[in-house]
Amino acid sequence: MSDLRDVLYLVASALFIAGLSGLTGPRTAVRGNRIAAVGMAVAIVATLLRPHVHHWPLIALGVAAGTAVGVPAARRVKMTAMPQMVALFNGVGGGAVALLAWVEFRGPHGYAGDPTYVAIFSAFAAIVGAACRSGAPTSPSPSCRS
Amino acid sequence: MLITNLGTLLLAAFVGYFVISKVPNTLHTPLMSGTNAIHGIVIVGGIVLLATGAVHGTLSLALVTLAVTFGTINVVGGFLVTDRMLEMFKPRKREPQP
Repeated sequence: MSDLRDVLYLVASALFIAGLSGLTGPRTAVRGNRIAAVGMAVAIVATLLRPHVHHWPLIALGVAAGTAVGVPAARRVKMTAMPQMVALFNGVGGGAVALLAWVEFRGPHGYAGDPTYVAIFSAFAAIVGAACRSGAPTSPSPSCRS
Repeated sequence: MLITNLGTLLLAAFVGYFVISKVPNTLHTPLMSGTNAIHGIVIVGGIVLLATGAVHGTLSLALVTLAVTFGTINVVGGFLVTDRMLEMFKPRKREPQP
């Protein structure tokens, strides 16, 4: 099953690239965005393909809460406020990165068992993610690409 | 494993460079929004931590669930606003030529 997951992750990567290449022209752009969205769905479903999924209520809760916040926000924002909304979404994504790096750090061994470069990049992700989150609501700058 | 990751990074950098350099200026804002939605892939990290039972303790569980929520907002909201922006770029229907 972990082989199937890896194959599906490759499929998702291909769909992301194909989707992004759709953005090179107005005619293919809408379809490209939707292809990338399908790639994301494939990646998420693939992650759940495990013999036993621990904490699935928490996973469902997280996804449901995120959808409940994200869908109305995306539908209602004025077109003139789009850059700020994109920055806000970027900020929460960065916040997620920082939270995950923190949780890994809090784990029983922290980063002690991981290769050095993993620890360095995790700490880097935590810093960038946190900076992204705190800066996001006030500026539409793309400086927090995490 | 480091070399494999570096290999992936290198290939991704080339693909990114060649694909993104072809996006016309008018599509740069939807591009930023779309790639922002894609970086919500971090949600997979949160789901993996929860699904494999690698996280223990109430605070850590709450933090990862919050991370999954944030990631979902990024993904769902990101693709929706990109779609809305791209509505403006749909080519208008032409009258058939006589």
